Amino acid sequence: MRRILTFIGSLCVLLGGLSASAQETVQDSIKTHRYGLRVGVDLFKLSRSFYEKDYKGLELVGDYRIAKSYYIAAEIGNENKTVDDPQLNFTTKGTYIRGGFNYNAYENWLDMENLIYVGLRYGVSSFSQTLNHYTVYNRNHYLGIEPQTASGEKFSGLSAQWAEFVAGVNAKVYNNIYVGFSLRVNKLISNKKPRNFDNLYIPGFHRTYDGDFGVGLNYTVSYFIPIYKTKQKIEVQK
Amino acid sequence: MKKILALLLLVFTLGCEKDDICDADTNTTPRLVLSFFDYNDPSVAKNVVNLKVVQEGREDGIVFNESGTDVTKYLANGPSVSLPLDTSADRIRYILTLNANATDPGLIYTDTLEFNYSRQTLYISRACGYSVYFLLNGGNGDEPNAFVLNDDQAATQGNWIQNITIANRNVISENETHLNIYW
Repeated sequence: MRRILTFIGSLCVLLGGLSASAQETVQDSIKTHRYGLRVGVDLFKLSRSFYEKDYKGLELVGDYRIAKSYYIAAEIGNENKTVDDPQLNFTTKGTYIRGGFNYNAYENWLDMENLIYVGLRYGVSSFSQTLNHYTVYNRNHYLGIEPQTASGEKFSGLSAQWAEFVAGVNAKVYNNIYVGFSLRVNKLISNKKPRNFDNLYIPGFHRTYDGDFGVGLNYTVSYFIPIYKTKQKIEVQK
Repeated sequence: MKKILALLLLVFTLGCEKDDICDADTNTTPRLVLSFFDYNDPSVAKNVVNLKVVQEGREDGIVFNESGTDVTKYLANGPSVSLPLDTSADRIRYILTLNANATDPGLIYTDTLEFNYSRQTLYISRACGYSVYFLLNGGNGDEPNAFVLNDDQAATQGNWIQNITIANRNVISENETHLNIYW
C-alpha cells in the first residue's frame, strides 16, 4: 500500500511537471469516430469442431455502434454436442441467439479503435436432445452389472432462456480486422425440460450443472464495415 | 484486471469440475423388501433364522452380511430382507431356505417364491442416470400373481412360510415393506 502511494505521488509530480511544461502550447486535434457494423466468427467453436470429434459448432458475432461508447451486440450460433457420461450418452442439437449491448470502457487515443467492454445479453436457445444410450443405476450387483441400454429416444421442442454478463476485449489488428475474446457468465431464466430426461447441455448456454449458472467464452475474428463518421474536436492540454 | 482474472479462474474451475458422483442417499433402483411376522401373532415382527436366499438356478446366495464368513455372509437373521428384482425381465424366482446352515436336514425348510411385476425406467439426475422402478402385479386378467409360492398361483402357505400379504405394490423405495411374510 505504501509503495502504491509513493508511486501515485511520484506520478502526480511527473504529470504536474508535464502539464506545466505543456501549458504554453495550445494544440487542437480532430478525433474521428467511425460508426458501423462489425461482423465476425467465433474461432473457438470453429476450431473445437475440428479437434473434438463429439462437437460441431458455429457462432457468428456482430455489433453495431450506436453511441460513442455503446454498441448493440448479438451472437447467433448452432451447436451439435455429444456428451458421454458414465451413466448417460446423449446428443444435443440446436440454435441460439443472444442479443444485448456492450459498453466500451476503453478511452481510445487518437485513431485507435479498440474495445475493452462489459455487456449484457439475453439468450434464447431452441434445441433437441437424443438419448443415445444409458446404464440403469443399480447399487445391487447380485443379478450382475447393469448392461448399457441403447435408446435413441429423441426429445424435441426444448428451449431455454438466460441472461448473460459479458466482459471482453476487441482489438483492431489490421485496417478493419479485429480480434477479440470474451468471457461470459450465464444465469438460466427459463428451461423447458423434457419428460423423463433433463437439459444437460443447452446450445449457447453451455453445459448445465445442478445450479442455474453456466459459463462460456469465445475468441473472435471480425471485420468492421464503416458506415458513417463523426468528428470530435479535442482540445489537448490547453 | 482482477475481475477478469477472477472470471478466468471461475471458467477453469468449472471447466475442470469432476462429474458429480451419484449420492448414496439418492433413491435409485430399489430392491424388494420382505418383512417377517409371527404367524400366531401377526402384529409382531419375527426375525428369520439363518435364511439363505438364492436365485433359482444359481449356487451363490444373496450376501446379507458383508463381514460374515463364507457361510454366514449369506444368512439373514433380521426382521426383513431386501431382494433385487430383475431390471430386464418381469419375473424373478428365488429359493428361500430357513435354517440353511443346519446340520440336521430335517430342520431345513425351503420355499420357492416367484415375483411378477412390471417395470418403469425413470430419469433421476445426470450422475445417477436412470433407475428402474417396479409395480407388483395386481392380478388383472390372465397376468400371474404378484407372488407365486411353490409354483401354485393360489397358495399362500408353503413349507415354512405360513402366509403372505402385499403391503405395497409400488416398489419405488427400499424404505418401506412391499410384502409381509408370516411364519
